[in-house]
Amino acid sequence: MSKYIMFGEELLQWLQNLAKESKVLAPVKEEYGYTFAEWDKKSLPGDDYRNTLKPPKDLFFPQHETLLKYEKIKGENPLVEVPDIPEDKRVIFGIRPCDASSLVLLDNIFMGEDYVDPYYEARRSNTLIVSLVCRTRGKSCFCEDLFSTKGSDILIIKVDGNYLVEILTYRGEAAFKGIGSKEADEKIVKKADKLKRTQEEVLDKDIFEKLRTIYDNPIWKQLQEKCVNCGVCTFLCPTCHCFDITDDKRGKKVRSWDSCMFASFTKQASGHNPRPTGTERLRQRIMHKFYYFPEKYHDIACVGCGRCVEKCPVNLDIRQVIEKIRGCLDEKSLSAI
Amino acid sequence: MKNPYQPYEMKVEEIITESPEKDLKTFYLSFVTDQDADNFNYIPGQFAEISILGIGEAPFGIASAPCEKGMLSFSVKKVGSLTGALHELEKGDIVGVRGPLGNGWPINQLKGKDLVVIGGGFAFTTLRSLVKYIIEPKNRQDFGNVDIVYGNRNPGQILYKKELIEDWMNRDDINIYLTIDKPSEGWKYQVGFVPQVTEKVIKPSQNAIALVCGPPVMIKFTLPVLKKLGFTSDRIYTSLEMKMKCGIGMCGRCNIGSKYVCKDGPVFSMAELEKLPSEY
Repeated sequence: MSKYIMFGEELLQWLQNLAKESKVLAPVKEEYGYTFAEWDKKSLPGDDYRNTLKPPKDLFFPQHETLLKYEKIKGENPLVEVPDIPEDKRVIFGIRPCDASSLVLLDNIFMGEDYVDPYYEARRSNTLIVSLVCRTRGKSCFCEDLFSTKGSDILIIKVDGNYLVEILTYRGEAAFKGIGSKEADEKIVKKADKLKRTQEEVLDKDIFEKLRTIYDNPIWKQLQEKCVNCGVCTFLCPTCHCFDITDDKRGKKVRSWDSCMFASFTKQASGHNPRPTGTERLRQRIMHKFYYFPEKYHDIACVGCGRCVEKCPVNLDIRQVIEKIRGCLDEKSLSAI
Repeated sequence: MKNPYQPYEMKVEEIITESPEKDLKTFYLSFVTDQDADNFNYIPGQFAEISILGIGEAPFGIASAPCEKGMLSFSVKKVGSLTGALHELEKGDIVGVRGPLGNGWPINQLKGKDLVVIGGGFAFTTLRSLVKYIIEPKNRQDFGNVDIVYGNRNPGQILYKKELIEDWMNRDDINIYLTIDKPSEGWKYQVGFVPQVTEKVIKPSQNAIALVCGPPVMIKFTLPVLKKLGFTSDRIYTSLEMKMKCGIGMCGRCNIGSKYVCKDGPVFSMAELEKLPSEY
């Protein structure tokens, strides 16, 4: 697909054009950091923009969402209906490639072969993903590839103060139609390629083979010792998708994010809990991301965005967890942890 | 495709209190529309989420069989908030039913085979569905001999007593062995725990298939008996229970390893379970 080069002004104009027929969401600076909100139609994210506080899953799978509305009518059958699922076209501009790739992982869950979640699907199919490549990795980041194209319709790379725009999908192409931008010349493409090639190496997240053998290893107990089971890692994880469904008693059946770190998550009405302590719950979280998910969908359910690293109240760093697991088999490395 | 969260409306037609403690009831529900009845196509061993508006939703094995057209039945023990609310229902009330969900008993693998159906307590529900399906005249010839062992603490706990004693006990196309843990006055059937009775009445077999549902302790002690009788792990099936919400493999709570009990189960062979972590 094509590649174009744009000045900042042109990029603004293009977005302004898109905003005429779509709702453009962009990282907007709020009190505690950036968050996706309706674009102000005039500015681009500043140099201090690293990533949004909340992952973009919120835009497709909101933290609270009404699945059904109901009304009980005395003497008649109750009314149950599906609320309107939003159909307006949206553009998400400035999403980071790590987060864009998380959407592809979530698609496996919500748009699977057997069941499709109509709320998620509607939002996915109405949304154009325009991602903005980071210039460097943040201190908690460990994405494999800063320039990953997975999940993006358009990928924008800042090169020498201008924007190299890579069109990746037909949807992306359609959004770029009729724009008089210049095709990127060889020099700039080469420069971008060099940036892609010369990324520093990051942590290898593939611990699949090791995990196969350590389900009953004492390492899980050691790893969870400082975990307080607060669940912030799961709420801020772009690929965590667990949820609860509750009736609010006021006429709504609501879906809310839930977390495998909570005891109540798997506790049965009888009182039995297959994951009774933090050890089983932390193991579930790690096994799910690096073993169960890859086994099912051939991909690791961690994009390296680093939000869990940054916000963990007890500094339980998933990068160290990965390293410890990788080195855990022999007794010597066990006692060193 | 139907919105997977939207339930069918069903009307409570009949409620049978199954146990003297009154904590076990069977609900007979009918579809409010014929179209819904036509759309709800299930096989024995599948389950559904029953919902009461304002309270919530929970999964229950379907106790009725597909041949019982237009209706579904569920046996529910009162343990939590939703089951508590279900027990308050009266004839004519409306509930939501979402399903059918899960894989169900492996009907195709069972065809042509002798079957040993082993149940304990109120876990007999989807086994009842299976047996009812098998003894349906048009299906009966597809299966070999059917032996049923069904155990309970005392005679009062037996589910579907009328059907089991008045019909199933008198049929010559199935053998049913009812058992209770301790002798009880007027009881004329087997006495003893399910594993012991199984060992006594079931013949060793190299190709029969066993379908086992019951409390964990019953399953634990029945498996070695089945092994002794020649049943290999791939010829023993069970149905698992887990806390569930969505029932469609999305909400993330009912997994054992990479399998979701709601979608990949609830029926698994012991051979499959042996490959999974024992986290259930």
